[in-house]
Amino acid sequence: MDLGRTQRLIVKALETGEDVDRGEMLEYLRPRLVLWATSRLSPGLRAKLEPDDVAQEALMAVHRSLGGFQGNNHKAFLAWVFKIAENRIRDLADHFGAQKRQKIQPLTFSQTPPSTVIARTEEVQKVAQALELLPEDYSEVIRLRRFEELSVAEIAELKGKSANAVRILYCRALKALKLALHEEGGSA
Amino acid sequence: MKHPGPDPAPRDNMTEEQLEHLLAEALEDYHRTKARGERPDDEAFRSRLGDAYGEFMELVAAETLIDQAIEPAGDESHLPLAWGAYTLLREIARGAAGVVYEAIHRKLGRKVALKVLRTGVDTDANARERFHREAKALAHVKHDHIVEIYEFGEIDGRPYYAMSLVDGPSLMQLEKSGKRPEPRDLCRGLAGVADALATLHAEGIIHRDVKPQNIIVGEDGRYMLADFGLARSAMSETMTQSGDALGTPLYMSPEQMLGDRKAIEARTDIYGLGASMYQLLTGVPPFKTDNLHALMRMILKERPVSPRRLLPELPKDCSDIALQCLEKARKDRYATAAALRDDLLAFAEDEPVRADPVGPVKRGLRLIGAHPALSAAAALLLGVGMWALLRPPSDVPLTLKSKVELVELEVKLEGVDGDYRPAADRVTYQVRPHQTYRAHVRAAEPGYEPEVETIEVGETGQTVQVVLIATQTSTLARKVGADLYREPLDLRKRESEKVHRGMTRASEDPPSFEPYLPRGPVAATHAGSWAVLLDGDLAVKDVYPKGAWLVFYVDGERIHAEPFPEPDDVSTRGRLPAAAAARLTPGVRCTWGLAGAKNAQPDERFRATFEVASAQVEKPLAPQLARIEALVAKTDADQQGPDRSAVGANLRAEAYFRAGLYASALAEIQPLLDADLEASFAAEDEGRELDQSTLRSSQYLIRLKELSILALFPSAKERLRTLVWNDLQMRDQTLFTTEEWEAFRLRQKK
Repeated sequence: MDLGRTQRLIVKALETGEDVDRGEMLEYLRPRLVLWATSRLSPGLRAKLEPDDVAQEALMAVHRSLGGFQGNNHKAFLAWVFKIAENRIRDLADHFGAQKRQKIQPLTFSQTPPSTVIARTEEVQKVAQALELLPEDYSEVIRLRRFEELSVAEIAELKGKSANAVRILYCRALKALKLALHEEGGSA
Repeated sequence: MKHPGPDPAPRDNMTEEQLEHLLAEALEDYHRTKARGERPDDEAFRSRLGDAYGEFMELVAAETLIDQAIEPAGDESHLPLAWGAYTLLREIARGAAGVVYEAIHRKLGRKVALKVLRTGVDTDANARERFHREAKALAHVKHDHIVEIYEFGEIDGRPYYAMSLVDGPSLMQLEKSGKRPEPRDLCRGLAGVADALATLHAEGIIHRDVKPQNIIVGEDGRYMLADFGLARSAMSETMTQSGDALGTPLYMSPEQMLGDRKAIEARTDIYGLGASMYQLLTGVPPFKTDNLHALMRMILKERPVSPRRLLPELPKDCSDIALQCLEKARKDRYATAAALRDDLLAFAEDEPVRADPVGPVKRGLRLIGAHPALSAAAALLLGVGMWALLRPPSDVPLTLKSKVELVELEVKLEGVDGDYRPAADRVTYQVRPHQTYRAHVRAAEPGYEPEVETIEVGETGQTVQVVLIATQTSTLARKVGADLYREPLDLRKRESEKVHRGMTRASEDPPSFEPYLPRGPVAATHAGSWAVLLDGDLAVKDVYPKGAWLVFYVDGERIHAEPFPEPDDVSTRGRLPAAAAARLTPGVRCTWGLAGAKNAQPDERFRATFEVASAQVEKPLAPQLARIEALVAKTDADQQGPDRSAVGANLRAEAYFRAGLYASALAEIQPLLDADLEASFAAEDEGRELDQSTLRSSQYLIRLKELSILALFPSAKERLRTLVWNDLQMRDQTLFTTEEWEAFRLRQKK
């Protein structure tokens, strides 16, 4: 896909080792992470966690450990970001698990001060709602292909499917998403 | 792009599964193509998919929607995916005035590049009309090297036009991917673009944004000119995105840099083509720096490095063509795009070219032409010396003529003079014709050095003037100068910070303007505000709430109230009525402040009491004004250059500025500025070159233009003041001796 402005900046920064505006970079990642989390959260966790909060947590973690990132390209960067995000979800899941066992009053993310949670843009909102309507495997393939930007071959290996099957699954997912978007927003 | 009706692949005999395979593979190929930075060939996809093409485009549209969500394109609100008869597929480019989308006409199934005018606050009132006019004009132009306009109109109140989507990389992409064309091929290709420009110009259309990104190389190798009507307000884009490579106007001509809309004409496009050619030849733009302001200066004043210096093997003719296009003065460029086309073709065919850019020798002689800032009036303002190098066409004597001098100058002509000699009114040399001489100039007393030390004196058929600027640099003067001007320089910094931070912030944390008090008779001070009486004018600068009133009290009695004239301005100047001014005699304590309404009490934060200063405006400047008069009287009125009144006015304006008497200074310079602007507009209207020597406020004029581009300051007054602060350091002692300054400053401190 074509690179957007911020993405170009990040790619350039990664390649040249230049400094990039962290605030801008994190905000660039935010909608992607929100949608990613929408798709990634299991229904159980989804009841407890807001994708916005997961994205916020992940962004904070990314911010903290940005200095430790060793890669020099966009793909590696995304992989790294989503690995951090995965870890955050795991931590949060553990947190809720522990909470159940120990019955400790948790600090829930919905208590995050409103100012730190940037309102979702309309587009993100729309796509998120549509994603939530999709069956799990559709949502997943879109997540892997569009948000994590894995190649078809990579997804195929990950899921133990043939590349062809992934391709077709992806097409069906897109078609379903388009339908869901229509359901959601009327005329898209 | 051609649109032959493709043979739809039969679909009836295809199973649903086969169809899915077809779509999935097509989508995958689509991505592969894009990942390589190429534009997918829609025709190929269409014929490959047949009836399924629509379905395929739906998938692409769904992806576009996701991509839009995860990578917001910018401040512009997103257009709906379906827009009028079109479906927008993706954003191709975004300019200041519009956005270009790749779109598909749903009924016709035709893929187009759709240009949509932005309708934001930054769109100027005539933009819509111009956009339409241009689209209409373009729709008539058919040219092999211009992308075809299919239709234009308005959807949801937003003007757009649709044009053919040219398959192929732009010259920029070509260059970046290392596939730089060979110079002859490049010139042959660009000749087509030049021919296209000639056609456009004949229709009265100026492209305004010719750059490598806007020249697309079609499948058949043809160079196509694309992207019209977006560059109109590129300047504002530049300003909002300073430092951002996307908005950096690397290929912009000097006249565009100056924001002089009336000066933009056919030769502006010739500059753009030259800049593109330069980039493609050398791999770098003619000028490059990270700093926008520096870039502006380079484009306005510096010559590009010759392409041959970067690429020694490049033929001189080719290099000359590019340089000729990149001349600062429009008259020095190719007169028409057709002439440029002919030269490009001539080079491509190994025939002699006519390009003859200004070389170093001529450059020395053209200082004035290329640099209006250094014209006669400027020399007077700078006050050190102005020289005329007179050389009759075939005569042997070379006359150096000193025109104005506040400091004696010495001159040495290399190979003729053994040592420097005093430069009297006229110095005449016997020199050989058709020979270039180097003249060195310096100040007779220590503490000055010329900005231009060496002038190449070559042959020329006409009288030329070369202006030299000397600046004082003695240690003592530096020390005094730094001391004197530290404050005003800080003021600039503080001001621009404030402008950027916004007024709210400033009022939370009022900056102290105490050190920045003007050097005039101070009328009022207060944290974050100052006021000064100027010839009965009142200038106020403050953190200023919207709709405020300016109120004055003497002895608890309200003597005057007036509204700020422009709600969004941060400063104003008003004349006190005679009755009120009469109350403000020296020594009287006056309270002034800003109130929310006419009859309200001034806000506590914006209230200050002051003692009306006793200094009169004329008094401290008496010696300067007398000196100026003498200088003006001495100026030979027969000489080329500004007339006496202009000389006096410029000098007086300078003196007033230096004394902090801005209103007086502005009053002196304003008529000249207005007249000069008028003259430059008139010249543009009549399509002739502006005779720089007739400009009378040149120094201020050009700086004003530059600063108005920067648009950092809300009013010309502010800009003017700032630019003068800027130059003060360089011009110490021109009008004020150190002792005078010291005395002046002491008086201020009291």
